[in-house]
Amino acid sequence: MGVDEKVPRDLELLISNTLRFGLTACGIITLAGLLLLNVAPSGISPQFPTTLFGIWQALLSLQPYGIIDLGLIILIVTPVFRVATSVFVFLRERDYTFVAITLFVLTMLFVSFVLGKAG
Amino acid sequence: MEEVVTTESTFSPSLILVLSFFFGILGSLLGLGGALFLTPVLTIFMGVPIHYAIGAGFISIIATSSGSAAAYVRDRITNIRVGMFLEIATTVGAITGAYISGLISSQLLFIVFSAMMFFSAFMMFRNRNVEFVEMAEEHALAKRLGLSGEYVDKALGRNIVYKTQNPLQGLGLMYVAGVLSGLLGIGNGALKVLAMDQIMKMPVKVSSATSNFMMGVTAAASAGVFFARGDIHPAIAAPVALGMMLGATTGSRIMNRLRAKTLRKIFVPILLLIAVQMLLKGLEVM
Repeated sequence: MGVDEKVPRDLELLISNTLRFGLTACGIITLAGLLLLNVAPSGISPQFPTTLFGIWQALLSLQPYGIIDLGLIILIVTPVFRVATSVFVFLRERDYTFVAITLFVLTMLFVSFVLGKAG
Repeated sequence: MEEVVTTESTFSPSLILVLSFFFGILGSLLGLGGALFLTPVLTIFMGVPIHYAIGAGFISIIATSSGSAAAYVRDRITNIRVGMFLEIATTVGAITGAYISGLISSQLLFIVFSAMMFFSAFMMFRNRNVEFVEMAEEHALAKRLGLSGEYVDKALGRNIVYKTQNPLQGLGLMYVAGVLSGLLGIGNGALKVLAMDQIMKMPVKVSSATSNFMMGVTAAASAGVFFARGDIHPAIAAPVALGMMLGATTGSRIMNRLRAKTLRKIFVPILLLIAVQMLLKGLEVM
């Protein structure tokens, strides 16, 4: 059995393009935040938002740390999004073992995000 | 938080960006997250507190992973099915690790880190002249899950067909890799590559590319925890993310043109160097 039968080409392209899109978005936003940070007179401050609400507020007032954090969140979410999109391709291929495997991994990722917020 | 970002005057975002670029190239070649190189540089040479360095390490892992996987998946070097299968264990391990992390001293972390690197270096050195070991049969479970595969090796100029072995042992090692990744903020790419290369008998390039592919997911599983804890400092993480993704994209264009033996030989001294650094740090000599 060759690779062609086991991994459909559109899954490969979907994963590759998902990753590329996430990287581009993260790159542009993070760079913008970093450039703003360099012109800010305060320099590097140890104060920065650590909650989603705090990041959202910083973002609304266009603070460099808020913008950078948005870019970083896109970066962190990209691999998760890659796992999520694969579920649909395995489902279409009627590869139910891998649908189950992928759903389990996705569940673990969500559990970890929820636990992370609580802690 | 009353703590300072860094005690050293050598801290500079542009220097971090340049260094991250080179670490990103190395990371994408070897299936490592780059945190392996980045974390010690930040702590030892730039005086960044260890928890910020670990947080930046997570960002570097995800950036290197996505940057290199985008190319390796498209070029069909990554074994997506093996990656997805092993992610079962790495995600569960990463959650375990992130929660034990607050309970263990950073000195102990350094020593564990160091021991792991010595072990990896030894394993890689032992196999430094191995290009690829061809297996006659594939494991029954590997066959059922469709874990074997093939790829076009550009250095050898031919198609390499491989039969995957020992999927359950691989799964067990991935749990350990996941726990250590959650603990240390490193993707444990070295351990993943070793598990696929040595235990599951996959070609080293496929192991490296698949490790890169998986790393991002493992790190994302822990990143939420570290974000909430305030360990991911934007001023440090931003240049890391940019440098690593550019470096990894560059490295992913080089890897398939190198010989597997060359990759192994690059591996050994790098692993040893870091093992020694971390041991000194753990013993508080440095």
